[in-house]
Amino acid sequence: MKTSTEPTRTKPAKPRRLVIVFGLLAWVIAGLAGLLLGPVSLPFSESLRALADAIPGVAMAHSLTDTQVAILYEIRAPRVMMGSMVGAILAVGGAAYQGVFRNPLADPYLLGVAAGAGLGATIGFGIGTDANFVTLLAFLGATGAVALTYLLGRSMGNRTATALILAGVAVSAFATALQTYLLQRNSDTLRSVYTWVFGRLTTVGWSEVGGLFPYAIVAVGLIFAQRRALDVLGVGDDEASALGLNVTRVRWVVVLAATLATAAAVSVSGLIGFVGIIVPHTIRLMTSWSYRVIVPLSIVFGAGFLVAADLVARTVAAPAELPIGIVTAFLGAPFFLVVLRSVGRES
Amino acid sequence: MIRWEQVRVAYNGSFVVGPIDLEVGNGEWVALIGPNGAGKSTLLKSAVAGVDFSGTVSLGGEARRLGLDIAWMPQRPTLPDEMTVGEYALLGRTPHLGYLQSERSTDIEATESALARLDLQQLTHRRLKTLSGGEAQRVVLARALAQQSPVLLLDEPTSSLDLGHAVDVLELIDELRMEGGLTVVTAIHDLTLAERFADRLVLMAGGKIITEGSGAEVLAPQALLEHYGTGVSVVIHDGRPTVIPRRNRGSDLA
Repeated sequence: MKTSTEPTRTKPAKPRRLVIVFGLLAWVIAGLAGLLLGPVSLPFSESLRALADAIPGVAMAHSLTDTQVAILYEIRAPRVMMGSMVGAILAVGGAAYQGVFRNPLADPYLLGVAAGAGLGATIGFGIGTDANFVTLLAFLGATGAVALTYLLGRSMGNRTATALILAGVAVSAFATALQTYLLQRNSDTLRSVYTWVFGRLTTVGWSEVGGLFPYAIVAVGLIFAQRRALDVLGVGDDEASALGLNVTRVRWVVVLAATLATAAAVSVSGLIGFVGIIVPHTIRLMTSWSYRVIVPLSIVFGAGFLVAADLVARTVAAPAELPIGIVTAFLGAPFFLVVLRSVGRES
Repeated sequence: MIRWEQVRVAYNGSFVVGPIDLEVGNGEWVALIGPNGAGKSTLLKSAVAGVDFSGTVSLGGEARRLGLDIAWMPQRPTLPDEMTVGEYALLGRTPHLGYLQSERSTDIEATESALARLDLQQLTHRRLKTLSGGEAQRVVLARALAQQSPVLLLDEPTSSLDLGHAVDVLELIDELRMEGGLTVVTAIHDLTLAERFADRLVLMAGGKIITEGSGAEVLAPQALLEHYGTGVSVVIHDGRPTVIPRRNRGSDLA
């Protein structure tokens, strides 16, 4: 065999430090803008001092009034935190699904999370308008729909993931049909349901943030830990398994983590669409195919994107507020098309 | 030593392969030959859990450890378009890594060594979608070599290679076998190459082993006509049997 004298370096893909710093910076800027901008504008430096003062062990004098402090701490800060967590969960959940199903259009919505949550929320609004009750039923609807998808997919006895995806499509169609029927029977809840369906972070407080936090940490942590395994799955189930990867375990850990976290996120925020598709794909198109790059960057850019989208949702038509799902699609779709075109030209 | 015992593979309830009993000793090279659909690939896949089967596949009497004990080069590998050659070959180190572990310098070295042995260093940063069929086939073999498993299962390892590269690759496998006692099982269509490199030929047809032995024993024109459906001449060249296909129509029949 011929040999070459050229040196070679083989290394696993990893995100560039500069891109991570850029993503973190974008998130911080979006977060600060989210804290300071709104119908009531807050002074920049005093707000920063007030924020620093809220950190345990730090005492810093500031001149904000009690009302301004309440707006900062009780309304905007939890909203920015919730936007960050929901954005990170949706983006990482989408990336994870695309990895385990090797399907570019996969995200947790595909297995019935969205349709199940929508049905649960519709039932909730039909019975009463208590926000916590709606959230609970949305979560139960989402997890119930995915459990049904799993049972149906397994009963098809297919070795591949296709059976699961097809079961998800069937369960989603069934849940959506039920939801439409209920809406027709209870047209007085139409407005509430549609406001919820298009997503909102309006009513978010620290208790909702605290409720979602464990899901976000556990799910994002689990998916992050599987990023190398997601790359191995790129060669298909048979070859990945021959390489010693426990394909079934990886698939179920990732699907469970992404699904539960997404169900928890949408039950609080409503159905914010598109984030799980455009954030990972934009990262994939602009940086690398590897989930070692896509997963960590999806966390950072997903968080920043949703905080920025929420800022637009509540300021562009102030004092009225746009549903955030409309903003993510309205801003995200053209941006994504631009990325697709430019990358297509380059290649 | 790798051993298939009473291995049967069924599709839709009927057995398509088996029962197969086959034992390949340490450092031995066995070539599976036979017509398309004989069950060669399926038999190889059973060793790496790529297909549901009954019976046992063991290594030295112990249950095999997927990835660590057996490296498999599939006939039709999945090659993710955007992955680079280096990243793809590095996947061969998967069985050596803990669940949450990243590649260590030893893994990088093993991968680079496999790429170098196949003369692929120049292609390390090339995307898989840009490779020719022959280059891709060598890259898949590099991934299998990076696994550093004692048993190497190769499904048509030279089907996309020109004659020069085919012989190079088979010589390399033979070298590795001599150096490290690698056990090799190949499914291969080129009967002459199979005879030149393998210690033993196993002729399969209809999912069963028909006969096995040296080239001189297995490459009988009548048996090949019966199972391949075409006439061949087997001539002795440099003291070794060489298979020459004959045309069914035209000059060879004249």
